[in-house]
Amino acid sequence: MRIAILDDEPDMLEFVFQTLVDAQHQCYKFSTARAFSARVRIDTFDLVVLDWNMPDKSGLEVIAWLKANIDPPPPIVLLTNRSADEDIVVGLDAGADDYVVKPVNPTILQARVNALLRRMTPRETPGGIETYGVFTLQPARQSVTVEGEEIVLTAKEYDLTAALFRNLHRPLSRSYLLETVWGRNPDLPTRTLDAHISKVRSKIGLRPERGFRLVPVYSYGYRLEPVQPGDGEAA
Amino acid sequence: MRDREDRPSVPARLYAEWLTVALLATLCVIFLVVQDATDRLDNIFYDHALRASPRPSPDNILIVSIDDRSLQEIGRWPWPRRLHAEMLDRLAAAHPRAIGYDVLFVEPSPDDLRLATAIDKARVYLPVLINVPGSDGAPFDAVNPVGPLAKAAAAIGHVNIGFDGDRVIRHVNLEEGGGTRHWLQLAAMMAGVPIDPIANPADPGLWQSRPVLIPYGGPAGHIRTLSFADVLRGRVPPELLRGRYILVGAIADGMGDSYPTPTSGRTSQMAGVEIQAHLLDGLISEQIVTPAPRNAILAVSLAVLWILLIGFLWLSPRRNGWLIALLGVLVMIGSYALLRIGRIWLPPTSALLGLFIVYSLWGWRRLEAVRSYMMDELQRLNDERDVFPQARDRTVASREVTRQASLLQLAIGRLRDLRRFLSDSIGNLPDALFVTDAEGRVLLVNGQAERLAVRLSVDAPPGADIRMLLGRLRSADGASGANHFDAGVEQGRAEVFTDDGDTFDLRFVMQRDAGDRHVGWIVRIVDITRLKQAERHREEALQLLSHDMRAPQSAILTLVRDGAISSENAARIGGHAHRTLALADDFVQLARAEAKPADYREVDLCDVVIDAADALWPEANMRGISVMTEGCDEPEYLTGDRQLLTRATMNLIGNAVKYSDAGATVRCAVSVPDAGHVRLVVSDEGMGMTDEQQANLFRRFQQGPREGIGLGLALVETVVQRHGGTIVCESRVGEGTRFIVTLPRTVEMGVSTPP
Repeated sequence: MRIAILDDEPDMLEFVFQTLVDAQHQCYKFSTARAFSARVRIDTFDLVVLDWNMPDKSGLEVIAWLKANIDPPPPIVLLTNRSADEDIVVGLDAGADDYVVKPVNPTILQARVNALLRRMTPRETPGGIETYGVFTLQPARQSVTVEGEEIVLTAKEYDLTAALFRNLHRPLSRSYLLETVWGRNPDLPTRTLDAHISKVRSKIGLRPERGFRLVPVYSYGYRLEPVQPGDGEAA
Repeated sequence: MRDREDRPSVPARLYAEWLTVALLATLCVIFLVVQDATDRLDNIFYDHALRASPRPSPDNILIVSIDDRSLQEIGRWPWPRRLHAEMLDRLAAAHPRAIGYDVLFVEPSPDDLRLATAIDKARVYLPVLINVPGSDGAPFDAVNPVGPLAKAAAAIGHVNIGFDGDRVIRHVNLEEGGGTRHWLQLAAMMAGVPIDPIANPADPGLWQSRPVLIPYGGPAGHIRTLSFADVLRGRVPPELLRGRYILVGAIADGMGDSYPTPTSGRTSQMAGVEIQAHLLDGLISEQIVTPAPRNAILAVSLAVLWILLIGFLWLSPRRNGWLIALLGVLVMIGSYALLRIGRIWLPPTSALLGLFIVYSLWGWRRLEAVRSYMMDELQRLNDERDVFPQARDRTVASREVTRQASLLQLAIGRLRDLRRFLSDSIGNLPDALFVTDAEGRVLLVNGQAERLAVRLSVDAPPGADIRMLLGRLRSADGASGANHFDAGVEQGRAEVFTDDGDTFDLRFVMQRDAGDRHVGWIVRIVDITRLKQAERHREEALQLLSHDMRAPQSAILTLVRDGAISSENAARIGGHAHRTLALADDFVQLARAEAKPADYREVDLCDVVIDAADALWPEANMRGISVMTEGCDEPEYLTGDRQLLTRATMNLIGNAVKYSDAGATVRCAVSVPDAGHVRLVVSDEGMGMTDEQQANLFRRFQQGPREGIGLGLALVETVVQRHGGTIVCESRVGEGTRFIVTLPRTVEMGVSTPP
């Protein structure tokens, strides 16, 4: 896939470039926002990796520019030194599809980029059995099989579980989850989603010990991510 | 204020008014005295004074009266002179002291010789008839008794009496005359008053001199009276007549010789002979009253007047009231006393009237001066520009009466506005403000000050002593805040603390009035706790940047000095870098935890604990440490900020993992101590801490037993405090550490506000 990388810091730019090239992608490096936007007008990229803090233009401004000028805009991964939860929400709300906090773990970056690119390719036919690590989803029976034990879920719990697994690595906003699972229902108590997440987590044992971690993205939603060996403090 | 000098000030104007009043009143009084304008009033006073001082009827004076009984017995008047001769014979035989025979014998009669003989036997005084005007153009006629009688008489005296303006007889003139002739009053002659002619002989008219006031001793009939007939018929013992003054005259109603007198009452009159008798009594007993000369009256009246006028300048209106009453009473008492003791009649009314006139005049002029000054000031006040945001409606009525009222109304309205404006301004001041008197008693407090008093749990209503409140505050050296206040300096400033550690900026300034007298204090107290806290945080941040963050960087530079980096050094460089990152993260997290507007929602404490445990799983897993969650079969809801709570729990679990040995277990237990609280206990089986380490546990940038503990626990404490909860640490060296966090299920208001 064609990936544009925009970062003003040469070391970081080179590191990200190398990491994604290692993952069999075709990468283009830009160190200023101006050079990047000039190229984007005449070229097409499948994905953009952006640094938030750049001297000539902030990452958020670049996102806004992309959304306004390119149709359809490519998926965007925001790289940032800002580790605070509030900043992450600001980035996501501005239109970034994902974010990675520096220092960047190469495995995580590859996983996030691949997850975003996978979204663009047609999904495998629904109704079939899906397997994620030790978890096997069986839509016909609305059950999850973990390490040989079959756990039957309610319809909502199953839909929630499926939504989380199908969007591995991807931060899912509360409204996305609510709409996907419950449809448009404005009367839902805000606690419903959190309660179901808790339920699913304890029912099927969705814990790091089994290879997956359910991460709350504060005031935004949730993200399910597989635990990487040697994973440090992933936000 | 520019035109102030152009107009006379109130005092100057009052002086001018005073002078006018003084001159007017003086002229009035002079007129009253010179014109005898107050006679009638004086007479009323005199009559009352006279009636108030009766005398016993005199023992040495007798009246032989030609009364109705005598007329019935003897016959019609005039009687033959023979009868009078018989009378005089009988009287003379009794040897009286003197006889005044108040009967006119002006026309000749055959019995004249017989009468003259009788007259000669005793000291008999006869009256002369003076007619004004006289016949043939003469100013007056004096008709003496017929020749032989006149010769035989001891002396001839006039019996004229003086009519006052109200036709009442109060005075007589002891001497009257005209041309070269003059006569003494009949009674005066009997009393032996010496002749003292002062008249100008060249004046052909009738003159009168030596006026005296008749000191009536009582009403008509006061002097003992014998009936003419009784004496004539010898029915009176001669002893009764001996040595006495005898006055013979007509009393019978038909004789016409009777007059109103002060003592004769309203319905009756007094016979001329009785009046003579009262006069005689007065002259003999030296009780006769002399009228004061006009100059004396004038002098006294003006003196009294000017005492009051001077009083106006020096005394308050109230005291002037007393002064005028005192002067009035003094004048009346003085006049009465002079009459009784000094036998001098000084009419008081002109002085009294003078007092009245001057008081009325002054009252009017002073009020007028004050009123016009007030109106000017009100008008000027109304014309001045307002300092207040909303100006009042300035229309003033044109008619004088309503104009005054509306001007006054406007002025009062402005005063109210001003007071309102001031009290609002003070009341809405953002700082606590106390205004006290010179002794430190609170006169005025604003809303902030009241809240401060409540916070310091002191009662500070107006009237309380400000030192009570200041006593709750201590300066850095431990001295009471009240000490600063008592030092007696013009103004002062101090940083003071409560026992809870809150910091206040105390400022006070002495308040002086226009006369530079010390009237009180203005005390302002501002809570600068947060300011101080921020200052401290900044110091700590500088400490972090200047040392804690620099140290790993320096270490890295030392390690890369040689160029080639061994894999061992690379690992150490990585460690230093991680430490710097962790410090930066912790610092940001702590700052956020302090400043973030809290997002309070229903939170399941179990979710929080599991999120935290999952986040730390890689770290724990790497060291073979298992993080166990207990008590999470059912959700335990509380109101809280999930993000902050998760971060705090992560720090607690992170610490526990960090200080546990490989393979150990960290327990996170959720429990419910009571209905209103939930509790989280994070315990490890690590090395534990000494008491000293525990004491400094929550201080920022305090290095723990191992590196990098400081900021983490400060964040935990901050978050717990923001939720109104408590955190307790239990630790024993070698046995492990337990952190017990207890949180209320609902966050109280007030704790939720971020600093």
